[in-house]
Amino acid sequence: MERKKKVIIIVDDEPDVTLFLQTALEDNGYTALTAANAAEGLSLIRRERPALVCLDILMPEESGISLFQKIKSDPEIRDVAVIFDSGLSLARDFERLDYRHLPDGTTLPEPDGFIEKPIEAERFLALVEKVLAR
Amino acid sequence: MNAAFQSLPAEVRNWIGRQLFEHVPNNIAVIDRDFSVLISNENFREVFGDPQGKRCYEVYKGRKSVCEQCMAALTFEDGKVRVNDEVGTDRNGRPAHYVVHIAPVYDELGRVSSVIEMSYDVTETKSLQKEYNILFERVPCFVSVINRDLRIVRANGLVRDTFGEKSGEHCYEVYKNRSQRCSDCPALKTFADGKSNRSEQVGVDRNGCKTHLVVITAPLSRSGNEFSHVIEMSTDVTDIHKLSDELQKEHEFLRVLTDNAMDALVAVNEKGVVNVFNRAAEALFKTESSAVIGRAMGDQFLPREFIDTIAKGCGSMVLPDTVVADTQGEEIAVRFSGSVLYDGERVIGGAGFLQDLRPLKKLEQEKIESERLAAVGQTVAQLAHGIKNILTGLQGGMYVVKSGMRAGSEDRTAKGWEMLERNVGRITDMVKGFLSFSKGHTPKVEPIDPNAVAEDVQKLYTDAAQQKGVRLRFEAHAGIRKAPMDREDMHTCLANLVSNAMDACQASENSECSVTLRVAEVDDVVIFEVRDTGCGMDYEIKNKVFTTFFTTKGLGGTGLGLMVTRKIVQQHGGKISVDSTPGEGSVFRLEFPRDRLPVPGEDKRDLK
Repeated sequence: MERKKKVIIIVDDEPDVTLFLQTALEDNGYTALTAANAAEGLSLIRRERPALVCLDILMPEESGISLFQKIKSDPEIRDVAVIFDSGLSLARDFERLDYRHLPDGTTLPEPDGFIEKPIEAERFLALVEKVLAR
Repeated sequence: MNAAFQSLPAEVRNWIGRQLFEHVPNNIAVIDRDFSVLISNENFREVFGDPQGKRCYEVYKGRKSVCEQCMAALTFEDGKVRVNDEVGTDRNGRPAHYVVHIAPVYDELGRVSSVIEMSYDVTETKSLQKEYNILFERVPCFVSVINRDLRIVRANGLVRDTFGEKSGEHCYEVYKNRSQRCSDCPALKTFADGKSNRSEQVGVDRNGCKTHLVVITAPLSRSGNEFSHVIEMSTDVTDIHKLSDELQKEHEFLRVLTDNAMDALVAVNEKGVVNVFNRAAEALFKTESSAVIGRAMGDQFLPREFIDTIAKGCGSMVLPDTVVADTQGEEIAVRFSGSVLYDGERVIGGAGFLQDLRPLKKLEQEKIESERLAAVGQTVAQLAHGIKNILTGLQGGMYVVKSGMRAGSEDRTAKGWEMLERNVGRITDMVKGFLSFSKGHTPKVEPIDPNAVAEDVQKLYTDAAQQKGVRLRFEAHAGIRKAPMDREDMHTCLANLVSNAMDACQASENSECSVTLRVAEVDDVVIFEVRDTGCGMDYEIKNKVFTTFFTTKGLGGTGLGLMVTRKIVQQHGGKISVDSTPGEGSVFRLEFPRDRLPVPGEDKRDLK
């Protein structure tokens, strides 16, 4: 009997990235859903309750950071694992963003992973497996 | 009477006696018991007139009766010799002081039959004494007479007023409130060498205040060669001392100030002779002040223009960037400011400050260099960032092609191939864009009408806006002055902003978006503003918008637009800023202060 596949949602405004990651994930036995912006992503996450969300940071209208804050502030979905995939450099840009401290004083947990573009399929899949194994 | 006189023959002795009687410079009279003048000498008669048949009191004092305390009467009684001061009148009726000597003359029976009165006029001496006394008391300096024990025998009024009524005390107690002799006692020195001495002393007055004194001591001889006293005269020079102290302090203050000034200070008199050359000047010109002060070397240290200014005697001057040479001939870039010095109307020289500009220039050079390196580093980082996205697309394309082939899915393989094609296209666009960005074009700055440029851009986008359902509006600033700018560059900037704004409108959920292009001028700052009611940006995106290759337009953008815009704005001395609210829209503002705009015909300031 086939085990129920784990659902992973990819939020990225670049169709090339979503197609790439979706293909890689599906080839490796996951169910991959995609959203082209943050708002779409949030409603998809609320509906599907995925095991993992892959989040681009720089998107028009609303950034991945903002979506991350919404996910982690929502008791319903805050346990969903999140990895950022971004063209930002981890050391140079990302760690300087003060995104985990909200104006109301709460401090959000760290994301579960960070993968810097360009993304290699093997590295990406290894990170996904590691995060889901926790 | 000595033996030699007694041994003379009687007629000689008589002759001498007569000569003496007549010519001794005293008044001599012999008076009998009735006070009648028996005989008198020439001097007597000269002073009092002929006394023949007159009584002595008539002659001496113009009286009619015997004086109350008649000395002669006493000598008639007891035969003793008497000396007394008398005041009488001469034959002209003027009061006269006399010292009177009265001696008895005995008859054969040994009785005092008459007295001899010898008097001499001390009127002159008396008045001198009085004058000296006034002088002693009233002279405006401290005068005291000190004996060999260093006790003050006599002191004048000023000493008493200033140091207290202390006659008989030691001078060091009186003048200095000390209990012991001073080591440099001027009175002792005079007692030792018999000469007049001058010294400076610090005394303490009756109120405990310090008094600076110039002291002159002189031997005071009262009898013979041996002198027993010293007269000490001193002048209070406390005020002069205070003044000189203040001058000294002032001088010291100025010296410290000039010596520690960061800038070299060189002052010369009207003949070019150096009279001030501070430490900074020594360091700047590599010479010692001792080698230049007092010498006519001003023209070696001060700029020619300033030397001329001193000669003409007009005002002051500033040379923001000039060159002087040090003593070894090396040229030094300096900022010079100088003033001509006057004494009233007369020019007495000039003083100049020289600030060594070399460290500043070096710093400036280093700053430009480090900015250039930082810009290179930033460009490389930005380039890498842009390539990252494309590489991801290429990686993805390859993966999807492989995946499609593995699964035998033609559809998937085709999608992957499309991805590869698209990203190769993107990298081609990017390289082209980057080349044109870095190459730039020959700038052409001319006075242009800001309204006209903005209107051109509005016209260019009118059709596109209509197709996208965006309302594009233009607000001109009536009567704005022309501004020196590169027309094509400004057009590029505004086109970029308008194009971005329309994209933001399309990305918005709001179907009735508008873009407003506005020209304004506030406080000599030309402003272009592009306002949209599109999707807006949140914090992270706002912070990234001006970075090369940053794009949120997915496949549509190279990320170069705003960076090119920023480069042009900076080349025009302006700045670009953005204000944005997610979901409500953004305002991009270009501000160009008129005083920083490039000069027409000149090359633009290149920020390479």
